[in-house]
Amino acid sequence: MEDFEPKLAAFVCNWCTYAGADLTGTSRMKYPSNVRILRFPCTGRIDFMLVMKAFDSGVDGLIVSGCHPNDCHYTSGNFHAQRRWVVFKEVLDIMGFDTRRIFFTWVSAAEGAKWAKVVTDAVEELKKLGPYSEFKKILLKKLQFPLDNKTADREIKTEPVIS
Amino acid sequence: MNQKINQHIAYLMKEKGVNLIISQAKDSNGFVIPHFILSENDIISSVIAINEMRNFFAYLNKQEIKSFKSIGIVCNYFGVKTFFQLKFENQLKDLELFLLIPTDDDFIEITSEKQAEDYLSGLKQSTILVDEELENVKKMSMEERWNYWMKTLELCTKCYACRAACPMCYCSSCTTECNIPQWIPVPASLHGIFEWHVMRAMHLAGRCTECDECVKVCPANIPLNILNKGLHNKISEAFSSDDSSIKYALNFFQPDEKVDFIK
Amino acid sequence: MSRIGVFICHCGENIASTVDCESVAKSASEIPGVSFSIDYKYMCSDPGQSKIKNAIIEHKLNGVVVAACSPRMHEPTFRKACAEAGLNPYLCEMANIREHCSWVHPKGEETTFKAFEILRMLVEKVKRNTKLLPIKVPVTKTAIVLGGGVAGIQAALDIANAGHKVLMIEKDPSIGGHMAMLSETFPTLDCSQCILTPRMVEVAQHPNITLYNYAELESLDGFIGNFKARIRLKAKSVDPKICTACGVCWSKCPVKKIPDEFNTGLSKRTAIYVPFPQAVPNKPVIDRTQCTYFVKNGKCGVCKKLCPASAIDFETKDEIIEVNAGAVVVATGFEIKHTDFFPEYGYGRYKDVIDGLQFERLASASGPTLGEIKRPSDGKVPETIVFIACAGSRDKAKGIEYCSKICCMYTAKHAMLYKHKFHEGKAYVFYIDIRANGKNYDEFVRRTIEEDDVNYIRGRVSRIYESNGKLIVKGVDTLLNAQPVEIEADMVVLATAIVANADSESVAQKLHIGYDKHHFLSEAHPKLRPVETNTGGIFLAGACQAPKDIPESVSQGSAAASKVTILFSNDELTREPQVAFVNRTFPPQYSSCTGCLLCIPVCPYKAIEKEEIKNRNGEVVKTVAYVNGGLCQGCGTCVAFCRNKSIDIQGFTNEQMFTEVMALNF
Repeated sequence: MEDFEPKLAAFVCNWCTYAGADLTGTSRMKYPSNVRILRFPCTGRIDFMLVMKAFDSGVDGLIVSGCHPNDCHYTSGNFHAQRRWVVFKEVLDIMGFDTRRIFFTWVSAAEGAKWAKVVTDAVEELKKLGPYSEFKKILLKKLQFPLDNKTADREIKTEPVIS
Repeated sequence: MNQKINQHIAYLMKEKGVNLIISQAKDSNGFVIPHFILSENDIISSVIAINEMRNFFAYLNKQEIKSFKSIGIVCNYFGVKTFFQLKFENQLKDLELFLLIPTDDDFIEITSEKQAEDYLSGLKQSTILVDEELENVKKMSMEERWNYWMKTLELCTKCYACRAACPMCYCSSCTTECNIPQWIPVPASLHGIFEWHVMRAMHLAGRCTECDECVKVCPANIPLNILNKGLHNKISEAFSSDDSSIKYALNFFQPDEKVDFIK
Repeated sequence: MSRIGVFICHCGENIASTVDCESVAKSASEIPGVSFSIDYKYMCSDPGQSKIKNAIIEHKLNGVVVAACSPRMHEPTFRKACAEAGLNPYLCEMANIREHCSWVHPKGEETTFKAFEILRMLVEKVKRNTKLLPIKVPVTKTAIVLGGGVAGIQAALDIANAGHKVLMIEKDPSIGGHMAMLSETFPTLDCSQCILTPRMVEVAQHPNITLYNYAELESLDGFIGNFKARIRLKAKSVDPKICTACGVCWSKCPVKKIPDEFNTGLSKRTAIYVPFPQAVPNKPVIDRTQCTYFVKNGKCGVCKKLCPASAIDFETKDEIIEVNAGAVVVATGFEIKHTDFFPEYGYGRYKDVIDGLQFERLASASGPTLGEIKRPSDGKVPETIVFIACAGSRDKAKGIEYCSKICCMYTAKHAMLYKHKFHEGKAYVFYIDIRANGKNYDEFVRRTIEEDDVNYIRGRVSRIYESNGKLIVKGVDTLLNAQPVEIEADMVVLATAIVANADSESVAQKLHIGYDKHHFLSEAHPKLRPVETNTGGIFLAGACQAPKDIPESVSQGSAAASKVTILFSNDELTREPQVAFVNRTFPPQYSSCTGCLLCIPVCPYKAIEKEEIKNRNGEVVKTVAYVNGGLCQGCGTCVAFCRNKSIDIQGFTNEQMFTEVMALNF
């Protein structure tokens, strides 16, 4: 897996992390070129569906980044995003999705160095994890019909009510 | 339904101008189905234990049913919970509702949010079974969990019965029907199924009443209640500082809230 | 059919040194939908821009991607160029191949490939861009000035003199604020009231200014250019139109023992009162919490019987008026910590431990002692005074880490005033640092130390206690090896910390603006937008934002006024069309929105409201959410929040972002 180059996308907010990444450039710091940055107006705009779609399009990992709490250009977009990620991460965790591949960070417009580190660390981590082949498998997998009826015999377990 | 409920149904239809009662009955396979009472002649006495009862509030979101305006519905605890949540989400406007909850040999009638709140506060829901299943899933390693779900979801045909039966899935056009852009892929491929179930769970997070209708109607027996319960637990654990007046955790936040996994 | 033009900038060597721009341009021409592709040395230069303009016209382009620097830098430049060539500016996007590519990666194939990939994603996005029109909203050319202190007065006068209407709201019976209470001002020692009162009178007499004294802002709705405010006019019980301010009422009022707020409790006032002789407007009000008539249910009424003009009416009620305004200047000022905040200095128990504002009143010629420095306890002239700077300020343990900024200066002034009035007196000042960084400020402090012989001790006071009618001040002198110092003082003046108003949080919430952890109101940017708030059309002036001295408050008042007049210089406001909207479809659906309205609390700008869709007969057919484009700032939180994608945001639509994500195409 030595020559594996992970594919990494980054969903960032316009006001902090995008500007922070600009600063990384202006200060000529270096980081791996595996990352593609997508600009969103605010972390609040980053739909969890788009996060799933990024994995659909074949990335091995994803950085989601915005303004630090209390620094949101729109005062509270990142707070709402934060709660959303808590729940979203839990769904993925329960489903066995590899959430180590999603890197949630806050990078402010002044943290050019942090951005370089975030990307470098993410790439390093993904190199360790290797390509996300489990997920890529289901991207290709079409269902076989007829379905295997054995597993459909699972016992239904729903709750009795109340006391 | 017991005698007293049937008497009350007759009374509601005659005196209160209620023109539809959604009651419950068993079909020949013993499956609980809705029984629509449009006139006093439709009243039947069928015996369904309160724990067997289903949550037919999904019907109330249909325009055809809504046009009856004044509706009675036979339900249990989950019905009341759903009623409360739907009211909060502005969905039962212009409807005059009579919730009839059978008890041992009597019944409770609920018509307002206040009554619903009082009723709900007096009861506690048991969640031993699903907690156990959730625990089992959580005990697995990440790979095992992934394989478990992929094996289970492979059976899903995206018939969307879970959506149709869910009283909280009332959107007149679902995101799955949106084709510009096509959020959820149409073919029954595994990643589309995966995305649909993640999306369903996300949309119900913080709103789900845990009535398990989705599981009851699923032809593939996919244990969706594990997801629902998992998110329910997560929300009450992660946002425990919210006071009880917050009815929806995801459109709210506490000042200076921090999450440990965001670095 | 897309006809996209792609323009790749070398940025001199900045991009071209690591990215092979020529090959990127060549590969870009093969992307489906791209009908023109070119690289050039400086795209933002005039010839570069003409290349874009010519290509738009020549190749009938319906989309432009400029691969150059950050859109935060040159997006407006290129959008303007497109507009000049007749292309809707919002059909132009920028691919950031400088900051995000050429500057951060070494020269090589990978960097060139990345530049191309970034460009390709933007080409896919721009295919889904739609023509957008800037949003125009009308402007109500009336400003609300909240607070009638010196900052508010300056802002109100400047706006009014520019020819616009001003509504000034002051919670007290008189305008003037803290400055009216001061004796002399540093560093020139001119009398505060002498310079302020003419301004106060000007406010009252200005034809463009309507003064609502004894009034409070109840609520503020709307958005920049179009605010709707509700103002509570507190019941004055005296009709200011009839009242001649003859003074009979307050001289005869039997309730005479109320601590006078204006004199910081050093004297007493009556229940019907004018806060101070130069008050503007100079008409009394009845303090209903103290007046016998109101406290004891209709007994008394002396003032009403005696009023020669019959101006007193006990029956008047609080009145709420609604006004429209286009801008708001918030100048609500500050509070100071009182002596009771300091357990080590006696919790406010010792009468002769006073705060700076009380000293101002003692030193003021119109104050309770007519300008003589006398001890509050026994009226004796103190022979030794200890001044303690940084009382509370810069003290983390007290929860006030910040510097209150003006204390060094007014402490020097106090010591100087005391020495001028009582030459034999001894003055000591305990300080941490002396911060005298204004015009002529340091000279002033030096004069206090060198000419007026005030003894400055660098160190803190640990304790004050009373002994034999003296206040024993125990402290250390850190310049003398932290030697303990003990001074027998007759009076101690604490330069107590400046803090935000107790109600500043609720004011901020009413105005939908931010505040910091000390509850001072937040500016939009600490350096570049110091008088604006994050909410358009609301500006800050004075110490409500942070501790400030008079010159600073006045300049900020003027700055806020200039921002307001800039806003009022147009009849219409033009805004970026990056706003959210709720989709509408034809009947019977009308909108895919189901009206759960859970999105309403999500919006930080309260831009989402309930809308009822009615049919031709006026019957409500559906209740849905509605985004007020004037209020929306375009964060898109509601868009991601909406479960069935009924809300979308212009410029970053679901379709655009989806396509961009799917174009990742690794």
